[in-house]
Amino acid sequence: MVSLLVDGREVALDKDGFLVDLADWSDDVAQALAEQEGLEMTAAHFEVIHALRRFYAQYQLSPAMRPLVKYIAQELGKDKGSSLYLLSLFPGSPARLASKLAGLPKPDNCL
Amino acid sequence: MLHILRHSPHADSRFASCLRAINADQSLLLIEDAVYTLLPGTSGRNALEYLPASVSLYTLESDLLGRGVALDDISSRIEVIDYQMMVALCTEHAKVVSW
Amino acid sequence: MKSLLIISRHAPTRHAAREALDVALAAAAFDVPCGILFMDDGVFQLMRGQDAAQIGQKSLAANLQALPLFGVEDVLVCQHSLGERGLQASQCLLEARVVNNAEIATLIEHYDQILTL
Repeated sequence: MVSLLVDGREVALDKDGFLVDLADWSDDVAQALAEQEGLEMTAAHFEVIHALRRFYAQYQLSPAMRPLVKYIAQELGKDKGSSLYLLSLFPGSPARLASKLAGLPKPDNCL
Repeated sequence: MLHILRHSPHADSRFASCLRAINADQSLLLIEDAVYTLLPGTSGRNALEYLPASVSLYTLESDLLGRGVALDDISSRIEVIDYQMMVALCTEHAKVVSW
Repeated sequence: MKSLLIISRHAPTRHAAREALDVALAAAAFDVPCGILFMDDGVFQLMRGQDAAQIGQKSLAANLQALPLFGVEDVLVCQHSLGERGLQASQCLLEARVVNNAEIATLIEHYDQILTL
């Protein structure tokens, strides 16, 4: 098992770098996870990540790309609810990367 | 004799079979998906109401809550019990029939 | 792309209920035009106030509410099955369109593929 050191506290990660225990999550943990991904966190990143955590709290699912875009549009406005915007913040695979930084469990499938 | 039903009354014929097989002075416990039998305005619920008053009826609270079956809607002749009481019920009866 | 109608026929505690939902979400993620019809004991999935933790399960109801967000727009519920079980459409946790037997027959004609779970 891999782990991450945040503020002197050890946070367990699975082999793909996802949090083992959702309760371990904090803004600092997100920051540390982002560093591992070579990503600089800004307020815009955190806004999406907090929305993602609300999504998970409500639906108990990690969203795929399309529902993520739809949900962000609903929550943060239409200009942010676009795949381009999300790709600019979380390059590559926004749904997967943002879910990881938000401390959500790894999606059961790759959808 | 304690009869235990644990399947939805709509899924197959065991609810009807159990009702045919039950005698006055016996007990019937509804758990798991059988708690859907208790929804008001259904034929299953009516069938339970027609059982002789000497038949004791029980159901499990956590199974009601887990399925969104409101406690307020449960008929007053049905005793809502917890797991411990269910264990007691099983040991009190000489025989248990699980349908 | 062929359209897909999933008929979900089992109570929320059964594996088949979750499988039906997974198929719907997966199909929608691949842009398959799809709908889900709750029929028979499947209508119990739509009951409000389910506290799955009481019976040691994950909440299917929470997941179901994500259907519209995942792009499954056609959410339908069988009128006959509701009535038989003492339920009303107004008690459902999703805004499902109530359909009668004739409408179900039409739906099955309309969709290219039907999957019953």
